[in-house]
Amino acid sequence: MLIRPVADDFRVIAFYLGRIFLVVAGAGLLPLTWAAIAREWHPVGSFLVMIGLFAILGVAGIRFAPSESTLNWSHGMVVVAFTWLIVPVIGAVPLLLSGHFGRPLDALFDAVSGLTTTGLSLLSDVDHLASSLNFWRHLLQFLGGQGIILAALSIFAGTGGITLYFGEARDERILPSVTSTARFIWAVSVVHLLFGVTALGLVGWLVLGFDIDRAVFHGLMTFFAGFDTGGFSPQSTSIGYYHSAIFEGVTSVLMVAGAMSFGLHYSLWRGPRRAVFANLETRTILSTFGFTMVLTLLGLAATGVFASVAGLTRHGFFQILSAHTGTGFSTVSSVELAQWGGLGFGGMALAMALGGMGSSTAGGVKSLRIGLTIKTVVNQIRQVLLPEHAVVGTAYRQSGRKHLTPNLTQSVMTISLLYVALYLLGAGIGLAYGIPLQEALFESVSASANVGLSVGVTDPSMPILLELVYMLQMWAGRLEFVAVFSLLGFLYAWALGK
Amino acid sequence: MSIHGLIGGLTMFAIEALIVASLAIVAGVLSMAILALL
Amino acid sequence: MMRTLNATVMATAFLLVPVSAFAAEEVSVLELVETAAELAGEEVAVKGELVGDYGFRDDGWMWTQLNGDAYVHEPIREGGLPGGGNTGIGVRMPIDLGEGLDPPGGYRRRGPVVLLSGTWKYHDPERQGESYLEVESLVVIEPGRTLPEKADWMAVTIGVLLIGAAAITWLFRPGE
Repeated sequence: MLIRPVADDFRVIAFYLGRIFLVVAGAGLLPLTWAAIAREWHPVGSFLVMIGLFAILGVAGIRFAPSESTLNWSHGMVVVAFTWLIVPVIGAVPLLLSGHFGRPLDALFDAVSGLTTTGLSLLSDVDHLASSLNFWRHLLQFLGGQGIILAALSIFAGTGGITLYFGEARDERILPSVTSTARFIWAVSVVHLLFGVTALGLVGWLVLGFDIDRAVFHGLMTFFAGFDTGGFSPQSTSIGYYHSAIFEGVTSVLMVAGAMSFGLHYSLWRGPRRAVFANLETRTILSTFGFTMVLTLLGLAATGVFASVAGLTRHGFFQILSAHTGTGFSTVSSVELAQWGGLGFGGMALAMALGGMGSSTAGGVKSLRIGLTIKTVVNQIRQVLLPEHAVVGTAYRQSGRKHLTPNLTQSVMTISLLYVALYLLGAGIGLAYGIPLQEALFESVSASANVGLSVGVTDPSMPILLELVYMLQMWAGRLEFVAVFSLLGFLYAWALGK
Repeated sequence: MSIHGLIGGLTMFAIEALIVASLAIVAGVLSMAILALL
Repeated sequence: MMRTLNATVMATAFLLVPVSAFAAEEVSVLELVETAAELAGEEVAVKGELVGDYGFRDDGWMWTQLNGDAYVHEPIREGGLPGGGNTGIGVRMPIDLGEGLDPPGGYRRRGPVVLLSGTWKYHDPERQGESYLEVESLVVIEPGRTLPEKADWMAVTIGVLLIGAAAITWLFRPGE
């Protein structure tokens, strides 16, 4: 029997949403300050409206101080799902008011794409966009990659913090408390920001010959989009704009860092370092990367796209790294990407679908699930081949020795199947609109796995239904379904419960 | 953040760069082999 | 008077177009992007707006981006309609060609509209597979100019009111 939510349930949810919106309002001060310093007066008004909306919702929410402030599992999931719905709606206001979008839905699409670190874009004329708006787009990717909830948890914890933490598709507890875990994740990000922006800025200034302020701008934007595996870029030709193998190299380091789990960062930072390579997750991702790289390089070489070893290595490696980490940076145009048929397309689509590590900024099914799925299948085969009474071991290494229990297997298989279903949903809708299968599948996987590589389907002229489906895919993919289903269950219970 | 923390962070960044370099070398070797075969 | 001056400048620019530019096939930026492979190695002439940055490198080349889309002549800041992404290619030219150009296009700036002639390098093995136009001659068709921008006072007012309302609501919130 479904129990209808009561008033106190709504008060709890509104209270925590209110706190989160206040944190996001604070984040909105950053692009506002940037616009003022850069004297970009038109965006100033739009940032004020956005901050005002977050602030008023935030203050209104915390007025609903619940009689008991306990946030249970269901509340937490609903808070997460609502946060990831409402923040892009209000975060889209500066984008909409910029004049760079043909319709409001397109601005919302870009805000969802930014926050979910996807990187697909319907923005018109990014090459003439205000730097403060470009900063806001990229900051959305940083907020989304870090996790809006995480940002809030670093500031306030309270009871139920752990529920919110897990609701945002993080399944590792790195340090004893949620707050200390959140702060460690921020520390990792700050370190990468310092070293990454310095390295990129120096390359931009000394090698590429940019003015120093522009070099820092490009470095900062590329850091946000690279480390958070988002894929937005300040210019229309993505990373191809820089025409520099060194720039691509530093960007690659940030992409790899972004696709690594924060637990792995902890091991690399504070040790033990060698244990990292014994993990099932690490071995799986190295294997899938190798496999998809071979496929892609074979495909590209067969089509004769790159005739030199250096060209094939540089572009093939960068593109497959971008796809597998879920970043979505590109050194070739989407027109050309659409022409990479056969194995080249297959390798990249598979890499996007498989995704990065769990508890990272990457999307996709994720390598630990892939590893556990393979282990399950192998165990099943062994069970069949071995004598009836033989016992097949279920142990695996992942930050210590663990066992593949039936519950874990069920959870892994369910989420993996849901991702596959999501990929097929978008592909099916695309096919219904007459988009060729290869392109429909590629773009659908790109949206669901929060990658952002595009073969041109994502365009201001795309059908509205397809646009809505991609937005749903980005949202569900980023949250890994649990929070989404919790929200649906909550709404269903509210409508039909007793 | 302490100096110790920064050094740890720099080590982490350097290891990531080493990972990328290693993967790029593997990609280079694969490219050479593939182009030679085709 | 301005119109007469503009016409004079444009006529002069036209007369100064090098012969090599006439020998090159005139293509659009869009054609270069869509038929990149077919035009590989060809001498082409292409018109568009220089945007982004001018990267003056130590090897004697300057890199930038050439856009050939609707925003060149109908910028959004001047009421042009948003109709999709930019269409651009990377270009590199000898530093002496690039020096003295008006700043490239960006926010509040329409960059110089130029006619570039050179060789279309498609996945150039000498640059590890990069695609770009290697420029041999450059003619400025229209100089760069500032685009208008004004504050959105309606949005500022609404924003300030909302923040004010939030502040008042905060001050009168029930105790936690």
